[in-house]
Amino acid sequence: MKREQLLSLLDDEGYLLDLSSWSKPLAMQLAELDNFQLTEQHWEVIEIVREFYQTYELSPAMRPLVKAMANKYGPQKGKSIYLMKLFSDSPPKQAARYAGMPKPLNCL
Amino acid sequence: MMSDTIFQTLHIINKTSSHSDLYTDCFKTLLPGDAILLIEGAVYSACGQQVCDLLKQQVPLYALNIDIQARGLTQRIHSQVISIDDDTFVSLTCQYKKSISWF
Amino acid sequence: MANKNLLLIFRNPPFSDSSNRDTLDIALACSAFEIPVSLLFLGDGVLQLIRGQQSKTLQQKNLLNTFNALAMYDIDQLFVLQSDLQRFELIAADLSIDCQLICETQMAKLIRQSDRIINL
Repeated sequence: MKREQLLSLLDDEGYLLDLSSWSKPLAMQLAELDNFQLTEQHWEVIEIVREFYQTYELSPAMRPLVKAMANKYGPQKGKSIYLMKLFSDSPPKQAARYAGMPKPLNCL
Repeated sequence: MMSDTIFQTLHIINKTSSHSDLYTDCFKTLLPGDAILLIEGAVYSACGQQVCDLLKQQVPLYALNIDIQARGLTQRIHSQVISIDDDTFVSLTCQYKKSISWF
Repeated sequence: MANKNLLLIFRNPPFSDSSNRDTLDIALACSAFEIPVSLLFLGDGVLQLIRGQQSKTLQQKNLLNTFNALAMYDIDQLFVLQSDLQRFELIAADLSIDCQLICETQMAKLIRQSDRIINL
């Protein structure tokens, strides 16, 4: 997909306009756009964000994201420091963006 | 003779019983041949003992099924309440000479 | 300065206006800012919590799903009047989230003890 075409799918803040248009390849293209490399660890977080949204119809802020990570992957990965190291920007925002979910509200 | 006492006015209520004025005002205007239809927030009034005041009015009592389902009330609706789908809602408004909204 | 504690009151049934959504958003924001928050479901507000709501029939988002997220945001001070449950012939198990059942006197105390109250 061309850069212009990709950008046309996003809102002003870079979040996907149509949540149903998300796919893994699209997430990778979004990351490429940011010169960001998605590893297996990132995909775990992205998956959690997508599950959280399906359950609660809400993108998680930091605290619930940490809690959801701990519930699924244990205490080592259920820490904000772990997420902060993984993502350069705010973890809830960046993960929501690659997960094709809306920008989390009230995120610090 | 019959035509004066059937399908007169359809009274449509859309608020919960917490809006008690709405219900008392509606009840004051009821005549034989009228019917009551509960939609939106009013479908809670079709549950349990709350329905008694409505049943006392001695007119057919309808409630809109999509609103019942949306609010998780399917198992709670009183057996004397007639649950209707959207098409029947439309038919009722045609069948009755007029409708009045108590919103 | 210690954080003021906040009481949020829900008084409307589901699918009425945006006040329940707005008040819930405030609750979630408070969690991010570590502001202690209590939620009171009063009168018709308790109807928002009934299990088994199927908003799909109305082609709307189901706000109840988002209420279920409160525990994930560490919001656990949730209150319902026993008399409101009785009025609607509900029991605690009919509600989708765990709430403390209180009487009117306890509600008055709750309001007295709160530093700020939002009642949209």
